[in-house]
Amino acid sequence: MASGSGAAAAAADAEEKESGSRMITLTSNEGKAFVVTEASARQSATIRSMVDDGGCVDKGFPLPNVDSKTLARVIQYSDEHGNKEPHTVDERAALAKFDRDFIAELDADKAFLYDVTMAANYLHIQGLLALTTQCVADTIKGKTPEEIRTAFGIEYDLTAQDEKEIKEEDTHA
Amino acid sequence: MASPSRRRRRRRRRRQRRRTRTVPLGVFLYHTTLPAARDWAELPVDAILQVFRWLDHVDVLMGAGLACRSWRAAARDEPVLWRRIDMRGFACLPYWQRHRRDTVRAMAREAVRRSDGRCEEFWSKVGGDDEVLRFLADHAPYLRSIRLVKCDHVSKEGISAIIQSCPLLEALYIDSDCILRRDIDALRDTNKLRETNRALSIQIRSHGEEEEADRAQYGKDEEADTDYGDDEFTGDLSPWSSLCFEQDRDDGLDEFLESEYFLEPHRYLHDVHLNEFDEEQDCRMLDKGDRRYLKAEGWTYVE
Repeated sequence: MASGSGAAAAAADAEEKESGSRMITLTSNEGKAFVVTEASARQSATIRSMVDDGGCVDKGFPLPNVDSKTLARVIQYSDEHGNKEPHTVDERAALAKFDRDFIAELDADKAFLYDVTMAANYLHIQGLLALTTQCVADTIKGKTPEEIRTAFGIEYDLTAQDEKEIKEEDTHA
Repeated sequence: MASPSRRRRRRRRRRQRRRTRTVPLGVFLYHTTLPAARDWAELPVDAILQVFRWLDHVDVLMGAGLACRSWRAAARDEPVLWRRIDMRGFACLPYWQRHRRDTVRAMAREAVRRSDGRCEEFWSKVGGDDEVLRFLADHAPYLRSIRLVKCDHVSKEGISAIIQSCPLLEALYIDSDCILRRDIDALRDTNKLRETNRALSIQIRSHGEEEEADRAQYGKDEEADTDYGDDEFTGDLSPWSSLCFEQDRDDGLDEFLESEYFLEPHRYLHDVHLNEFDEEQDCRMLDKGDRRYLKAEGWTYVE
């Protein structure tokens, strides 16, 4: 019994050492499988905690809330940030440029930006969430509520009660 | 969490039922050409708050926080967002409103109310006055830092109110033309600072009308400054250790305030609790100049 548990611990150790090169499978809601390195998958706090709990690493992680197109884009981000650690100034500048290009593409397609934001929020990828939310904030900045609703296609759903409260707040004095 | 969303769904269903009567045929054609729309109102609260963190508080109060019910709820019901109130950004206000005191006052009041008594810092540029200070004194007991730039309607009454009712106050920076050196003297004599022996750093910039009389009373500025400097008040652990009283005799005050010197980031960052600097929380408090400065000083921040 004792030797058995010792062997298990040794196996766990080996696995720990190996973990840098371990591959993890993520499955989108359309059933398409994406194989990523563990370092890349660890960008997501959700997946990181599941991996650390020792759960179904071999079976892969189904992500019912994320479609293939979004997942591919999210993986593109986490590959860039997870697999490389920037040490030099040049590497850091390259990463910043990647972020800029990444967000510029999303900025052009608001629906896709929404999907990626939702995925980043669901997977808890802090860096990506900061990137997308800043993009949203840049669009909002300096706009009136009406302009914001138009920019994002938000339906006006404030009730008479809300409007009364807003009037009481009186910020438009 | 479930019940409001269920209610919303029910409401939407009701709305849809109503809508079925009046759909023109063209709508179907239109919809097939568009990609599926996303409902930004359905964004989770965490994500909405992340978005708001990048915005100025004024933007949240006047713009994003009024867009729809869910965004409004996020802006109104999360005191975390209002822990450090920064009213310096006026990007979303039309020009004629920017310098109106009552607008700023109403916004400041609403912001402090939303902080639910947990506001720790209050920064404002233009528009802060005694009434704002008194409101802060009544509603923000945990206040640690106040910074009022170009707020010309602050007088000693407001300052003494805030000093008396905010025991945690550590830094006070006020740029006002209503405060005179003798007011500060009076404050020093009357308030209870000496008894509590608090560490409070007070900086006041003043360019008062009674400048001449003031100078006559105190002699040359330089002398007065040294009098108020380290010698007199630091030796005995006085709370007024860094009292600093500057007078600006320049006529071009506005140019000065907009000049590079005045906008130098460390002017804003001075006295901010850098040791408690929590980058994720606080990066939204900083404008671009501040960020550049932090970067130069080796601080990191979320970009």
